[in-house]
Amino acid sequence: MKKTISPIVFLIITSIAVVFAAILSVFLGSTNISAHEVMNALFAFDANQHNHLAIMELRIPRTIGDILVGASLACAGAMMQGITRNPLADCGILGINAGASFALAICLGIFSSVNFGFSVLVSFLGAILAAFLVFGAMFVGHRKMDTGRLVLAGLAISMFFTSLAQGISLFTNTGQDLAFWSAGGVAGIRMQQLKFASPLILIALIWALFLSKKVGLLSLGEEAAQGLGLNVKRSMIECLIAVLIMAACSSALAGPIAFVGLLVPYVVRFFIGTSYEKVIPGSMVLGAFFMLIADICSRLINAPSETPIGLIFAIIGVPFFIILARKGGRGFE
Amino acid sequence: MSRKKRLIVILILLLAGLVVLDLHSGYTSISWQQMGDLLTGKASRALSYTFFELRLPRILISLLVGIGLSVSGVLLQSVTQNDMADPGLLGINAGSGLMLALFFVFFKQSTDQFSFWLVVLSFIGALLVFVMEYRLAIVYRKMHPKRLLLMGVAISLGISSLTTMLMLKMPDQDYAFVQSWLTGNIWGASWENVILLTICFILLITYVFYRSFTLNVFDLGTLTATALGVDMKKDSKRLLLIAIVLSSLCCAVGGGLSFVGLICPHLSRKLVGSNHRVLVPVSVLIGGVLLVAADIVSRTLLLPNEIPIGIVATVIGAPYFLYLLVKEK
Repeated sequence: MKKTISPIVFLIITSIAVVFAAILSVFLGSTNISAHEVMNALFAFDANQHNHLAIMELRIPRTIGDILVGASLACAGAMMQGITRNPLADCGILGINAGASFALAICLGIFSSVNFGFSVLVSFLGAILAAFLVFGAMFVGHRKMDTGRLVLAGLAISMFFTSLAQGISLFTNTGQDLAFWSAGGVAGIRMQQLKFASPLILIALIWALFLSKKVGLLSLGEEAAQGLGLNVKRSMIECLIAVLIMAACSSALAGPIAFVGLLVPYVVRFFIGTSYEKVIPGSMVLGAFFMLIADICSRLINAPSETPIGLIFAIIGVPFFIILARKGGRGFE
Repeated sequence: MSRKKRLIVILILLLAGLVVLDLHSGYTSISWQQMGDLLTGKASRALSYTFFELRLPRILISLLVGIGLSVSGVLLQSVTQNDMADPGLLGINAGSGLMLALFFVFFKQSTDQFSFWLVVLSFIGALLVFVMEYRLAIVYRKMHPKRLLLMGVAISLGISSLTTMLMLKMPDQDYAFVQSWLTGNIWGASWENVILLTICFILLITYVFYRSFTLNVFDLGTLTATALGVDMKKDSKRLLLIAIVLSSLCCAVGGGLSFVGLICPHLSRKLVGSNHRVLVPVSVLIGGVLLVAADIVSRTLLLPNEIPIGIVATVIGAPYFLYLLVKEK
């Protein structure tokens, strides 16, 4: 078994990395703006200057969006893996991405073109609708919580909505628009959407930190958790609601980004072990870092056009993950 | 008669009924009298062409694809001991999807000419992906199912985003073809494919049925299974390979029908429990019934257009599965 790093050291190192990545993300972009001018934009903002506006209205919201989306997706993924005790679970199981793309497909079908702010709202509502159906299927007629049923109901409902979305987009010829959204990306984030989403995400993230101990207990199985004095049903509902808020907001902002939710928790476990009290904060920080780096790459690789962020994860993230998984360590077998 | 036997009889009758209904319905509806003519060889040439060259192979392919994917899902879920395992998760669909997308980008040809090669190509794509994952999951000469699943998830994520990128650059027509292929659409309906699939399936599924004891023991966990004298390493490798060949064949002719491989096994388990001696035949029947039913709807609902069969199968199957899930005590 591989030795792990102390979680405190890991958190400090990754937090510093996040800060550096965030600074890079503000300074680098498709239009070349000198460092001096960026500093001016930050500290002596002048609304008449084109470059200053680009920094304040495009790069800053985008950087904040990266951090929030990355942190909440990774945290939601780690929590879902703990609650369901299934290594393949992520927030997609709650039907979030499927619901969002279903709602978006309907909008694209009806109004052929949708502006970004509206699409955020619509996909948020779709995500909530699908998640409530999953909760409904879990609770109707049952007193006891059963995570097996959560997984199955979630899978069936996600597939149902995904199919409907595909059907609608196929018959209204909006498939490519929908696929463009599904490819994921934070390019469209503006302050306006952040004002709505960031308080929700922040509250959910802090709540998740408090819930991390309960997730650890739930990951031992319902009976063991009950034996250790946990109110299983209540804590599970709390965890699911926290996951729902984080995942619905980030899916609405950036589209489905499967890599962060599914695989970042493993990377964290590789470094600091499997205790959920450490994995959840670790996932938040590392998720934010991965998201920032991927977004910077997506802006620079083929500037001035954007390389979709999913492709960056496919090219850089997946090989990295495979190397880690082959090195073994905790949680991979 | 026990409940399980009665269920099997009902499913067989249902399947037979659906196949006949499927033969009857379609763009040109074939009446009962015409069907009688066809059987006695008195039908007109146009009619027998429609019946024997278009409709019959298509229905048989739907049936076979349903059967193959369903059994493949049962195998994968038992061997890996994970409810979420299915052929799609291991990147089978993603691998053949990428092959198709590459084909369209590099050789822009009409699909009619190359339909046979597209089948071969997507079969190869699916197998290549699995071989790569299997090779990567071996560390220190040991293959662990959980690592295999994780490799599968990572690689299929990567491959499907590559496919999406390629697709975004395609002209509308090619895009629509690949898209409908990815959602599951029966297009390899020819007699050669029917014969190939039938032979492979009879051999493989008989073997699986014969090994149902081993599969039952898998459910007890690695330690118990080894203690009961099952060679976990050899058997899991062999059964995984069978599952992959079954699903790659289905994928090559029917596209990415993810619902069947994932939900049909669970549906069958809800109906008859998890003894594989009953579960394997029942999931064969359930897979067949679901896809033949979906085929009827997909060919008739929006005439003259065809709805991809994968979409119909999910939209029919998911509510029934949820009903079972909620009703279950």
